[in-house]
Amino acid sequence: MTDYLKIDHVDKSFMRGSNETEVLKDIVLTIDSGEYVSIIGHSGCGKSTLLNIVAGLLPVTRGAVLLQNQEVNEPGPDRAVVFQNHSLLPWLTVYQNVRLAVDKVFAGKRSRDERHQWTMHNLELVQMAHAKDKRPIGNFRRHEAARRPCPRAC
Amino acid sequence: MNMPVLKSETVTAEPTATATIVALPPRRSPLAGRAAARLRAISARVVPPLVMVTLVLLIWELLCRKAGSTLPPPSKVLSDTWELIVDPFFDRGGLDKGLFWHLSASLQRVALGYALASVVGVALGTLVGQSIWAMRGLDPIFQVLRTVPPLAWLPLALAAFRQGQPSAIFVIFITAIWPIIINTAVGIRNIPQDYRNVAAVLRLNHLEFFYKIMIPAAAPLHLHRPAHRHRPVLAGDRRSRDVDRRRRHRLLYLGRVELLAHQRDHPGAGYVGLVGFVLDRIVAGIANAVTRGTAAN
Repeated sequence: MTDYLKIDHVDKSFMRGSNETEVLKDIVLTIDSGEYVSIIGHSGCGKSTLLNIVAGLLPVTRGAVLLQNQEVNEPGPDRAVVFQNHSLLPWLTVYQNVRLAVDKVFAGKRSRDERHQWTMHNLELVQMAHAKDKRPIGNFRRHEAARRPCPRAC
Repeated sequence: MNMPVLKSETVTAEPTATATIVALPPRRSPLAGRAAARLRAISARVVPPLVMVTLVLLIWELLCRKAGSTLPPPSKVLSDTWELIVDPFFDRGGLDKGLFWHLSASLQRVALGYALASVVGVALGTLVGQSIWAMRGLDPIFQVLRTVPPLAWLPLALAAFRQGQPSAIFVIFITAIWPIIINTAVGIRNIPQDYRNVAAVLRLNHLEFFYKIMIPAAAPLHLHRPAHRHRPVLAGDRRSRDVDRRRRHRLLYLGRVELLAHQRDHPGAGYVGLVGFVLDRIVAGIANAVTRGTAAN
């Protein structure tokens, strides 16, 4: 069985002016499908940097990230990211926030009605269907942010 | 889970106190209550400006009442210009028109100049906000040109266009464009990284990014403090109009006529101020609509 996600000798350093800060060095990690992995470390040790690289938001300095043997070099809705901040768009309602992602992922693949159903289904999973027309505020944001990145299983 | 059993053994005393019925005062009818609350909210907004305006007029009156003061007191301005105030619609041909016509001509120029400035300004601001290279290249130019006073553009505009109308519109355009460019660029540069990440993860294309993220995220800054933009624009237009008029009627602008014209400008200033206030509110309303309520003043 091939590895589902493979982080292969990844180095990451940030350039600030002429200063180079090495954050990650020679990270090797393989994760199987369905496996849960926690990355634990003190503040500033590069946990988020690693996750951002897997998400494709940051380029690696050396090495590569492989998802099902495909190199990750850009972000995409196939990898779910729940950001540290909720990252919901405050000018959209709860429904519209989720629908934005659903529309992008299923554009041309599912009908308008199916996309609506799927959005509502996901909102119901986190018991947020009652608030679909409200704007995201406070603690509810995290629940909903968890719904937006559309899991691969969908 | 055993608690109820224990409890039933210890609870022995019968409740002795009987409840007394407290008659609450009847609630005011909801309609009257709402109307009163509404009235209170309105008066809370209307009373302070009224008090301050009265106070300022009073001080003005007191300062200018004595004989020989250089400016007339408000009561004299009012009585001298009453016919202009009450009848803004007269038209005796030429420039001898009511204030309404002057203002409407002014507003048309403002609308045109401002619309042009918005289009060009938002485009340039977006460029400068998105690209560091463009920012470094264009920012010095903007900063230098920005400080050129509107009136200083007028001779240039007159030399270029050789007509009053396009020159006036150009002056409005050039007055309005700098704050639009700068506010747009700042607004775009301040789009939180979070929102850019969302756009990246969802793979929004440039157009979607512009409509779904950039405009709502940047609009609060974009349309921030509209007063700072319209007032100078209107003032700029007034100035250019005056100069325009002065150019054509240079001989008339002598002695007493000049003084009369000066006094006539008082109600004009009042009207311009009111129109500026209305524009201010309109832009605030647009900001509210564009950001869907997230830019609460």
